Amino acid sequence: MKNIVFVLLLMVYALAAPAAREYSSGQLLDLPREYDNIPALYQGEIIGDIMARGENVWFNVSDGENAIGIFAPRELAAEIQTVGKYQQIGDTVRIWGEFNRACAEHGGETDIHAVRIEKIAAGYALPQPVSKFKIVLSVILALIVLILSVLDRKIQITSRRT
Amino acid sequence: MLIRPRLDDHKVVGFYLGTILTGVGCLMALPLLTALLFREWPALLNYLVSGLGALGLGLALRLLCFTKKEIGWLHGLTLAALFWLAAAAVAAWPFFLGGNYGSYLDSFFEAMNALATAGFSLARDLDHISAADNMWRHLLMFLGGQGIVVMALSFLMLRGAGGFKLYAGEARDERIVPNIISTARLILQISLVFLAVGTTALTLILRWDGLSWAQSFWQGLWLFMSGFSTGGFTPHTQSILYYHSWRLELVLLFFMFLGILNFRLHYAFYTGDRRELRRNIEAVVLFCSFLLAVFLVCAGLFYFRVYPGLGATLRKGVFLLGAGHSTAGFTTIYAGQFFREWPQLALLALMTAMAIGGSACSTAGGIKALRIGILFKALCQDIKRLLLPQSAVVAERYHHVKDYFLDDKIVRGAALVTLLYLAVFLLGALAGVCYGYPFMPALFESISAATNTGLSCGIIGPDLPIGLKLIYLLEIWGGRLEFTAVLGLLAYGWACLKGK
Repeated sequence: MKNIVFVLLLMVYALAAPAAREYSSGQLLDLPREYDNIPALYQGEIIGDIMARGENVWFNVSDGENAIGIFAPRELAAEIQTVGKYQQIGDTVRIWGEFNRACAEHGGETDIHAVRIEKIAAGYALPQPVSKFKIVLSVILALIVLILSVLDRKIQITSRRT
Repeated sequence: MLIRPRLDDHKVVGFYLGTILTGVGCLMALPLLTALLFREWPALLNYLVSGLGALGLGLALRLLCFTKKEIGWLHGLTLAALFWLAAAAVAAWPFFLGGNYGSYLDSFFEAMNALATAGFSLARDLDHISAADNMWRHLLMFLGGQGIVVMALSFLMLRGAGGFKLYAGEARDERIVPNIISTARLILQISLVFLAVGTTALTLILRWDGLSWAQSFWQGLWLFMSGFSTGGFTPHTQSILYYHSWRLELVLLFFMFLGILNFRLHYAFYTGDRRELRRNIEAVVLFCSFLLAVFLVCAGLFYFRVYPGLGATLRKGVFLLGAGHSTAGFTTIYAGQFFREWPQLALLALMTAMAIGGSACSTAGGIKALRIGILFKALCQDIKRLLLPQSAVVAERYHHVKDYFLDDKIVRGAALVTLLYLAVFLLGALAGVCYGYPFMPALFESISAATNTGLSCGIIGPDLPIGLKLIYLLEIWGGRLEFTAVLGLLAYGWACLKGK
């Protein structure tokens, strides 16, 4: 029964969700009391990790200005495949949910409880260009270090003898 | 008469600087291996070039400045001040080559913040930096927390009897055991034991919180390095807010508290002297100031209903106060929320806690609990003198591993450093005001920089004006060395110019 009520509530939210206005993280965090507990649409890149907590997940979405924590049922996040990290851009998602300035359920955290997540662009890996100049420089520096360390060693030994 | 340093004096400085730079170059092997493990080829090349460059420069300095002259007191102070500048200047190379920082100054700022365990970051996109860069940032913080000189004494076995002069130059004049090299090694051993235990604990918690095993290990390692060193760097822009985990906050709070305790206290505790924890003046001051500050912060937050309910108030208040008092600077709120949402009472309590900081021979910054305790005892002594007959002899004692009588020399030393800190807080705040920021946020940022806390209310960021970057850098560097070594460096420079 509890599950049915939850699913029905989710559906009602999901239907109502597209009506929410889109906000940037800057808007939400600059005037958090104004937007507290209101339906919000937020868009950005998923960064870091998808952290499973029981039936739900936590992940963080950055719009380039700030990242905001998203709390969502596990099935909503099923579509997410790529997260942002070094040389990799994460999936870009659009999130409908309720913005909380200080969430009562999560110890006062600023978060968004998602009711709908839409992937609008898939993440991708960036090329890792290897600089030839740096390779040549490394070889030259290695030779210099080798010569200097031999000289240093010689001086230390001579100094110990005298 | 002021004596101008001779060529041999410059050579002593140059030789030991070269030794430190070779050490920094060797350390770059660790992020290089991390890059190899994560297959981050551009980052690997950056560390290869930087590591070899640092080694080359260090060896060249050692060869050019080779001398058998021993380190004197002025050399010790000058070297301690220059070690931090030179190490940060070289440690910044891979950051700069990585392209995630706007300029070399920003990279230098990052490296100095890591070494001085301040924790402000000017990275443009922290969430996309390489694992190698993260390893380097946190490793620098861990080593900086123990002290560059401590590391040098432990690994490089600097020659002669100059070790203590260098050690004292780094704002540490306490020996855990009589021999200074053994003291340095003991500090390192204590830290390494905690590193193993702490990383395991944090790995398990992060795994419980839903990260993969690999990420749990790496992020656990980095968070421990940062937390125990009371540094405050994290691998993500949101700091600890990224993890959404009260468990992690609780464990980090514990490690931050371990970090602010004097290494002598750690040693006394492990050698079976449990009573020391209750009798030590630093532990008592820290306990009292933390309780009082927690009460004021939480009362302010609760009264003004900043967070819903007592549970949320305690979670946010205790963690942020702990991060501030320990000068770790982790955060679980957005920078702007301090002045937009926190009441003045809570902010003042937090700023005072940041100013006090941790213990003397610890990884923490700030005025230090020992000095606050000494000044408080001196105040009590003066009040007693006023109340008792003029002929009465008033002797005040304090316990810090052993009993000490409070004399004017000790009080003057504590008062002088406290005054220097207060002056720097104010000057830093005035500089912020000159750049157009309101006084209170400017004071918050200035206290945070000079005490190497790293909590920001939003002023310090990649867009910070160059002048303010330099001023905060001076505060961070001077604050880490408690200004003594900086004054020593100035004296060395003055002697070069005006000496005969």
